[in-house]
Amino acid sequence: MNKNLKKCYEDYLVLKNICEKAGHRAISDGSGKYLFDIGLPYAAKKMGDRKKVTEEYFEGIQEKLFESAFLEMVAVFERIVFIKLDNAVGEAEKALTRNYGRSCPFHSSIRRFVRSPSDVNNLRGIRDIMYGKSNIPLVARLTEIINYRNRLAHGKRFGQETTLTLEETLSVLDEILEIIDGDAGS
Amino acid sequence: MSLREKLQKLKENRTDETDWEARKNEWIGSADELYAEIRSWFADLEGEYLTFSLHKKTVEEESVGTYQISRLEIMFDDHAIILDPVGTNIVSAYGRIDFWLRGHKADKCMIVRFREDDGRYQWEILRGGNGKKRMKLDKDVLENIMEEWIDEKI
Repeated sequence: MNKNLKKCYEDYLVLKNICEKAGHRAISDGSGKYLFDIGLPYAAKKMGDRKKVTEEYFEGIQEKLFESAFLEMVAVFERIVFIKLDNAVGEAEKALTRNYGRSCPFHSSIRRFVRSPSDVNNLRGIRDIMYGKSNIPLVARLTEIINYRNRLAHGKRFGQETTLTLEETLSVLDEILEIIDGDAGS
Repeated sequence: MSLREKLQKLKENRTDETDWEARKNEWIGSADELYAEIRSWFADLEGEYLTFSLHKKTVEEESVGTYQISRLEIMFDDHAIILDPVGTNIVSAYGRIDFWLRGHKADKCMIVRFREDDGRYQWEILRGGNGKKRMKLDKDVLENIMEEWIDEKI
């Protein structure tokens, strides 16, 4: 598994656990001092059901943790993929220059048959290069990830909700990286 | 055939246009039906151990618009289990209701509405992880999850 993607997931699990433990402690601390110590915004306010309010507050944080982790994971994936894309373009140009003879058609301009990295400026572009209009499940999942990332990045103003989990997202992105690297090796 | 006639024919032949108003109303009704069914599953525990409470929430979805839909809370002792509708415009599904023990939303399950080939709808519960466990929603499944949460989180 790609270690950078794995680290995103592991970091999320740690933060999730910290959040859960903080929530338990906030609820079980009868003095309320812990709420002040961790700076909960409502610590000094009157409330009817302290447990309910505390639980709901921590739920909000858990949701933010998930969304941040998701965005981070896709950002890490994007960074890795675009580095590999630059390398791939360089190698493809060299291979063409080396192997495409002077007598072949378009010899003098053959390097322009290779896409420039600037032709692919987002993950949809990467998906299209790799898979075109293919509808295999992996591509559908990648499309779902890209769409959900865009939804989160734009404040949920558009797009659909999904049933994606962070584990699935990690698995799909890791599999795509393996395919990219596997293609290079074959 | 004129251009207008050709365009009219294309429009009539489109079968993939969704009637979002109808879908929204159907979705709101389906959530209420699900809550009523769940309540009936635990009728013998209601009153003495469980309290069911419905609250309205506002949901805003692309294509569907803004609407009100019910959210269910199942209370016991000083804990609560939440069934919170997310929406109907879901990738690969016709509805999603998130289900969690209050305070533990990170470990939620998703109750998802799928449409079968015969046009009937079915509720299934998805549990997290990779390769997600997917089970038809019924009393036993819900009970098992609730028992697990009581054992592990309370």
